[in-house]
Amino acid sequence: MNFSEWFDSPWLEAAIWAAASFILVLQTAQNAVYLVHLCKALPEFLRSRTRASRLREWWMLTSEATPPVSLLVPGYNEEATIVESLRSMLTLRYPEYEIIVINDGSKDGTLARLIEAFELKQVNRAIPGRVSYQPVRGVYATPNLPNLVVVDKANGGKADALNAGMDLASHPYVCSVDADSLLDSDALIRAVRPFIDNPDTTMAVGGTIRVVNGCTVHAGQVTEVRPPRHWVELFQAVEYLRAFLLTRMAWTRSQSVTIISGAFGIFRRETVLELGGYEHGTVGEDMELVVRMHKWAGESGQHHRVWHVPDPVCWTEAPSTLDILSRQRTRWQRGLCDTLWRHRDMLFNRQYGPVGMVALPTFVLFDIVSPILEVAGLLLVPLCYFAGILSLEFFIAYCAVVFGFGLCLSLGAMIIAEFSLQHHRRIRDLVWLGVGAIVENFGYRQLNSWWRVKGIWQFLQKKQGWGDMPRRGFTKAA
Amino acid sequence: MASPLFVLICICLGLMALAVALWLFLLAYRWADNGARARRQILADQWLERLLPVLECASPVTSLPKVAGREEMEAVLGLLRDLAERFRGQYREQLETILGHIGGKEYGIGLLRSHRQPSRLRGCALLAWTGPDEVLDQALLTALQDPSGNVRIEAAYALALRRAPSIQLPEMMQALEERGALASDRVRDILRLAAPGRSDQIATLLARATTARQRVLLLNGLSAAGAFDQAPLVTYQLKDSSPQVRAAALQTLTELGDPFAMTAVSQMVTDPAATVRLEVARFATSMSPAQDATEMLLALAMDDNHDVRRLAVYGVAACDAEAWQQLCVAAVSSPAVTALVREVAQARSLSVPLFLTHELQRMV
Repeated sequence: MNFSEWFDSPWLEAAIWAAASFILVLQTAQNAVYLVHLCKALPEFLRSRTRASRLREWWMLTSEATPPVSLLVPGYNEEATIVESLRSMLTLRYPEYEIIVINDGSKDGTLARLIEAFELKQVNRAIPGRVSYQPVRGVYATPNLPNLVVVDKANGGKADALNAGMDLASHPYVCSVDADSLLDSDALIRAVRPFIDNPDTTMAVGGTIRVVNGCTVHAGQVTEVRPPRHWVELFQAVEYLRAFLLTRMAWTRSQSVTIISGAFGIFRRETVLELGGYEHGTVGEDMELVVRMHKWAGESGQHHRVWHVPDPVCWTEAPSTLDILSRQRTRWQRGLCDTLWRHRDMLFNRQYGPVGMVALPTFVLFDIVSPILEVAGLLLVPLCYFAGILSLEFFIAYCAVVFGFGLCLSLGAMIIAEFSLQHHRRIRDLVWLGVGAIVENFGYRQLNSWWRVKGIWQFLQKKQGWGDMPRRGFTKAA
Repeated sequence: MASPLFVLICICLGLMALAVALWLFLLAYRWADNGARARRQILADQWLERLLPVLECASPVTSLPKVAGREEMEAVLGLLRDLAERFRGQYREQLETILGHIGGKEYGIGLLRSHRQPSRLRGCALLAWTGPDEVLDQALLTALQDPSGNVRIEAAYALALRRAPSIQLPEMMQALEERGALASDRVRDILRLAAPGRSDQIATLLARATTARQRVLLLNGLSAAGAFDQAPLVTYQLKDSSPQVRAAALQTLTELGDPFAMTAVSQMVTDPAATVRLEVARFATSMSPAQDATEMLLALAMDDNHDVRRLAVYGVAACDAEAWQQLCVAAVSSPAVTALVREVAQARSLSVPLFLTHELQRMV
């Protein structure tokens, strides 16, 4: 059989139809699930609004029930943002907290900048060694800021740095914050609410991460919220609402939050120490820890909850070039694959409740299998349509699912988030965000799927490491 | 009959149209909301000029006009909330009078009757700021039977803050428990506010408490009540099977400062729960330099748990020179304690014996 005969074979046509139909069904199912997430997130948003009165915050500020928190700030080559970031943390409205900055063997002037900016002196501090991490080279503090401690240690990665900070923390709750992030002044007081409302069952709480690009930053605080002006950053701003905020609110509703961003998450310190701290040798240490917590709770029969709270906001600088963004996204995908592989025994296991039965299988299907098929579909469907194998109706249906459903989800997420959190007051900002939510479906989302596939490939190749993530600093990013 | 593909196309297009329509609605809503905000801001600015002389007692409350409409009321209440927050309760009495004059009480009762939970929560919070009034207390007592646990907590807090004489702790605790609200740590605050003068009620409740959570909360209430006469009952709780209750009992004894509990507490030095031993260290620190307390601290300084050890070493440092010397001698056998001695010596500017200095240098 020559190529032409083979191409005209009814078997090939049937196979292509079957493959294309499978891709279409999976894409439709995926979008339908996301639509359900959107609907599930709405009541959770409304519920969190009732918990978020300003009077309540004032009560908590003066309350003895508000627990003291240790903020852990791991930093590696963060000289561009570390001082401003720390200044923002020092202005937090919270009754009692300490900040532990962990300089993870930076090669730039991170430590020197900290010592100079805050007049730090080396102090003696007992190292308990309850979890493993690289040796500590020195601990720095200043009498001017008794709640600030800087730990200088040998390089060992983010998980290692967080373990060191956790070991030295003196409060019962620890909050991990990225050194390249800014916290709203009320972020911490808002984020600890689940720990106050359900102290016995809450294991961890995650806050919302938003893109700082485009906003006005003054003295370490976001003073004016604006959407980013550049397309790549704007798409990420919309994506943070759609893929992270909405999905996590929906997971909160079904008690199966498995990701708390490393940029802003609060944990019960004793639990994390009991579990041996953050796992070394993974780039998805934040997700891995939360999944491990669920596993531990499931095996020990503990009634527990992990929450995502929408209104405490941590601002982060989004990559402004596709090259850096690609590195970030492939790394995230590697982290996801790694966590799912490490905890594959939890999949479809009733012992782990909705996490094992729903959340993790959903990740496998929609974040591992689906991107591969999506990329295949993006190549296969148009080619086969133009080759005359697929019908026009099929082609239109495929486009409607990929672009129409996607547009509906992006806009829906933006609308719900803005309706409940009201971050953007100006009409023109909402119009611009809406434009971003529409346009991101034509190219950006497909690119994202490609990066996911790359991430899966890198995971299979056992690629390690974070890759360089150059920062511009908040003022320049804004 | 339409093919499934056609149906799918129609659904997608329909959803797209719906999303775009909702986006346009959001734009219209935000435009209207911005307008309402601007109006409220203007009203708040006008009222700020009227309120400041009244708060400073330069003008009588009667000089304030009546509030016209819901929007103006919301603007004024927002302003009063900001002022209260900014001045940390400095003008509390004037604020109570102003709220009474502008019709805040009636507005608060109206909010309590709303079918929306956020409004009922706001109603409770507003009434917490108003002056003594039996009708309002009654309205808040009714709110204690609200279907929502959150509203019950807010109503209980308002009653406690108002020091309403009609509060009966057993009823309040029962109302909170019915909706699972006792799980919240905010109930601790409520009990602490309501506790003064009600130690007998709390003690009776504690004796009848069936769950560890109830006992923890009530023990906390007893410490706020300063119920020294109930110390034996608190000491009895040290035998409870729950570590949370034992820790709470120790916290209460620390706050009460009862020296007669020393013997019972000293037996807790070997408690299996680290949280309990941590509270023992706190108790001993508060009781130092009593001999028994110092001995407890010296024992806890060698504890397995770092937090307990650290607190105990800081506690010993606050005792006398003899205890510090004793600790330094004992520290030689444990690198973990030696490191803590080094830390505390620097933090508290204490001298370290020569033999330990050599040990420290060796460690470094």
